[in-house]
Amino acid sequence: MKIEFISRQATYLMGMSFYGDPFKDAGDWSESNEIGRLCRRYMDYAGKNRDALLPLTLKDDFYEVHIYGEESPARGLFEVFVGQETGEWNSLPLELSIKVLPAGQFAKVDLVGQAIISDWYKDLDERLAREGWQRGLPFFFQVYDQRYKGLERIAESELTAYIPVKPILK
Amino acid sequence: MEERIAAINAALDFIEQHLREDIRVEDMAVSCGYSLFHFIRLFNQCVHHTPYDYLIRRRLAGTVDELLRTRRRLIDIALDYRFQNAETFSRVFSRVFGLQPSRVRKQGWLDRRLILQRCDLELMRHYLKFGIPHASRIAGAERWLAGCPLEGDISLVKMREIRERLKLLLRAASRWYWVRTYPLDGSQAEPADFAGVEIVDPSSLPAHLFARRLPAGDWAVFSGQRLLENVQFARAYIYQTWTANTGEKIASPLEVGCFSQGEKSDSFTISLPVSNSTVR
Repeated sequence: MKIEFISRQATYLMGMSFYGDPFKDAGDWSESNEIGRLCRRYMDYAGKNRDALLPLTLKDDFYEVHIYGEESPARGLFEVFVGQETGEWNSLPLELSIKVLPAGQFAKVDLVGQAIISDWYKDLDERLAREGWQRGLPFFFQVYDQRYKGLERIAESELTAYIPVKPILK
Repeated sequence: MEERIAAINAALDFIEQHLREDIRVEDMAVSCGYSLFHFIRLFNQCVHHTPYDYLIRRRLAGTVDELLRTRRRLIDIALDYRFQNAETFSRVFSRVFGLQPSRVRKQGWLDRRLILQRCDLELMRHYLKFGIPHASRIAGAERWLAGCPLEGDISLVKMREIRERLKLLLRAASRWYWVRTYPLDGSQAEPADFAGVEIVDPSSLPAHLFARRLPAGDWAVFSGQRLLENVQFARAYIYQTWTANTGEKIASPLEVGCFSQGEKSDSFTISLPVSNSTVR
């Protein structure tokens, strides 16, 4: 698992969200859990409203954002937001909302093949600490682009995850 | 697969050991060495409950035991199992069991089918190998069965015996029913079992058979891989997980197995009468 430390500007996403335990109905890596359903809901909407969304979309890359709060460690509930980069807010359709990913330092993690569905997050704190970093804000996001071929072709797929970090103060 | 099951089993042990303590889902994840996100995913896959829901239901199982076995005050039991107060405890208890805790103590029993048992290795292996039963809801008309009482629970061998036995009596039948009636009076009596085939007119019942009525109403029908061979796992899922996850209430103590002989293959389903009953 390759990690690089980078600075990113703030990113503005348009998309849809879910809050709760996304695996309540399906725990496996399948498209029938709430994350899969959320992605499908957004994709269906984007497909049906292609002409309206085209001028609002900055890139084709697809973002999946996980945001943790007080209920995450206690009850296993968190927010998942999926969507695409936008630069235009004023004509955003009512069905979509905006999520701002703050600017800052990020650990950029490239995940290849089976690593995508592994517990790559588990040893991250230790890995970050070795490099002099710790987790910053309580969220992370994954960017899916043309390198990602889908769950059924996971061995050939790649994606990039970004984890906000801050230096460990000595 | 075994590695994942063993890890989740460690988390289940952790939960059992800390039912009366203020544990978090993250603590469960740490207990088996997974990140929070990965743990939640795996737990749902293996147990078919969210970790938090499982914790609450296992705590409720503990409170049922105390309610029926001791004379401790409800509030003490509630606080002991980490419910915030008596009102929260009563609300959660009623939502899960359809009865107030005070009523359960007064009547001295509770339908034990609904009490979540500790999920074990065998059940997790079964879920991962065969998946969970698929449920559909149908509105059923009243039906009459002709058949006979039988002893013991349903099994593949027994179903074949019943089929042969009834086939001699009712040659045209291609579908056999097995009806289990659970005692709902708090007694420790075994469920009563009956096997039969559907008949149109109970008044024409042959003298050597018994008639049994299946009431009209809504039924949840469960189908799935190897359901008949693994009926105990199917029951664990249906009564303790499906009812919990869907909020469906069981309308009567009946459980109906239906074995159909098809041209290509046989099939087996389990049906339960369901309703949207209110809390008593």
